[in-house]
Amino acid sequence: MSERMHVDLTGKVVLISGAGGVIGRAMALEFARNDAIVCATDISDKGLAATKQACQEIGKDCVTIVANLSDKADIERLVKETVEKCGGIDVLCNNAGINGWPDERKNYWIYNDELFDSIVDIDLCGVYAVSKAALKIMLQNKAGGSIVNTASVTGIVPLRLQCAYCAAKAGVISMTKAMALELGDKKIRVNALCPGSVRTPQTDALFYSDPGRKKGILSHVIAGRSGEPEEMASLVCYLASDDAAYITGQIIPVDGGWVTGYVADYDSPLLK
Amino acid sequence: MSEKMRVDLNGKVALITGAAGVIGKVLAVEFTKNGAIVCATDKNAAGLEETKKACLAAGRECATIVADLRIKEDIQRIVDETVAKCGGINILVNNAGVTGGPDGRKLLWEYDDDLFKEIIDVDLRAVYYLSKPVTQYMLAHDGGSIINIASVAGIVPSRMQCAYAAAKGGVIHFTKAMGIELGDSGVRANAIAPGTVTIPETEAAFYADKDRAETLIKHIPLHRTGKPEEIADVACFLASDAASYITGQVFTVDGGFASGFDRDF
Repeated sequence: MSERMHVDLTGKVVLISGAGGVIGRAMALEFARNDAIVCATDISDKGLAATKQACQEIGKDCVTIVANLSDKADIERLVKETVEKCGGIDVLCNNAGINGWPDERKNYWIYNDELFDSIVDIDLCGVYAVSKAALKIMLQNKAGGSIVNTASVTGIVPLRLQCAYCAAKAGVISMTKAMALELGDKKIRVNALCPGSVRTPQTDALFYSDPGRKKGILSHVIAGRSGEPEEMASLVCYLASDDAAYITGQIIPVDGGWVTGYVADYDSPLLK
Repeated sequence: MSEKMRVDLNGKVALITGAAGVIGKVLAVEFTKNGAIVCATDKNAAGLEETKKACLAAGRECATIVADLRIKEDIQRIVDETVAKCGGINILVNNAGVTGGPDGRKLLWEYDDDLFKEIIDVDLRAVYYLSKPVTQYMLAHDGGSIINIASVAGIVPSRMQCAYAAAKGGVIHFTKAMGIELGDSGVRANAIAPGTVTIPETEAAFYADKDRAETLIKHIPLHRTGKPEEIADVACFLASDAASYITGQVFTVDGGFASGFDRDF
């Protein structure tokens, strides 16, 4: 079995939002493993405690800051504390995001308005608000920096019954390109990670424990399986590093080929 | 010179938002010319009166509703009054949009938070909020066609328009989701992504600075800005039965701007 990828992020301060969640935790771990100074933020202190413990278990550590990203004052405090505790911000991972639970998935014409607004607020407007605040610090870096926004393959190919999530993630994708255009001459690169279906305790419980449901979802995925959180984190670390210095404004799915093409052709082996 | 394309929208009620605006007024006129019963809404009452006059000159007076799409109660009122005044709704053109104008253009980290919110609210959220009750009506009655006016900025963003790029990208994608969910219900949903559109009144200002105008249009293969009629024609087509197999699509009407990179060696 080959060794895991290594990139040089030594001494880079990485601020990761939604770092109390499964994918965010994997990002924090991966950045810590590559010797970055990790600042993990989330609305959940329990989630952050688990992330900190995971970092310590591999002989590293991370700073944790609880913050509510729908509150502008909290975002300002988050950035201020990150600078106080870590010295600056070199990499920003806008990873925090919410979606409706399966029983909240409805056709757009009967969707829940409060849920629609919350998803647009956190998943789209939150990326703008946090980026704006963090850029005040990042724009002072002579060496530039890197921003990675967690979008979703649903922002590339929409899924049914998730109109708000599709709209918000597509907005993030569009905004990622706009940011890249604006930050090019400041040497700050901006890219988006688009996860496909990722195996987490929630998705295991909701989808993958039912063989019929699992087959239905995975039959559209070239790789024939869901992704691991580490596989999302690998791309993000790579994009954050100087090895990706000529990559900006890109929207990159890590989805086992889910949105590559149309699987339900007459002869597809994936459907057998 | 050839005759202009005609589609048959006779007897169809078309609800058009932002109908006092540059593209909105022309949408109202072109839908009227193609036989539709137009219900024009906007928050600009004086502008709506101009639209009403233009529709009358084109063959039929339109109904008008003064309303603000940022106000939830106004959304339901628009739907109720359209049905009351015109007898139903067959076509919805979500055209209302805020760009922030030249003064609003700023780099993201200097952008005005209130403008960001307004653009997300009108250009993205309001499309969802109005499409909901209209779709419910269409599903319960005779089906229909929904056309969302987005922008090429939602496909190929430019600098200093982060909110507009985000909102229009969201609308384009939301339109595809609408198409998928509507399935074979009898309601279709499509989007139009206009490029830069000017009218004779603004053309003089646009081309006044020759060098600046040339810089802007040299990336457009057709080497000119578009006319509102060229957007409205596509909307009328999409509203008609000629587009009966088209749903969940985005029509980019931009003179070729987004096709590729015009500058080669």
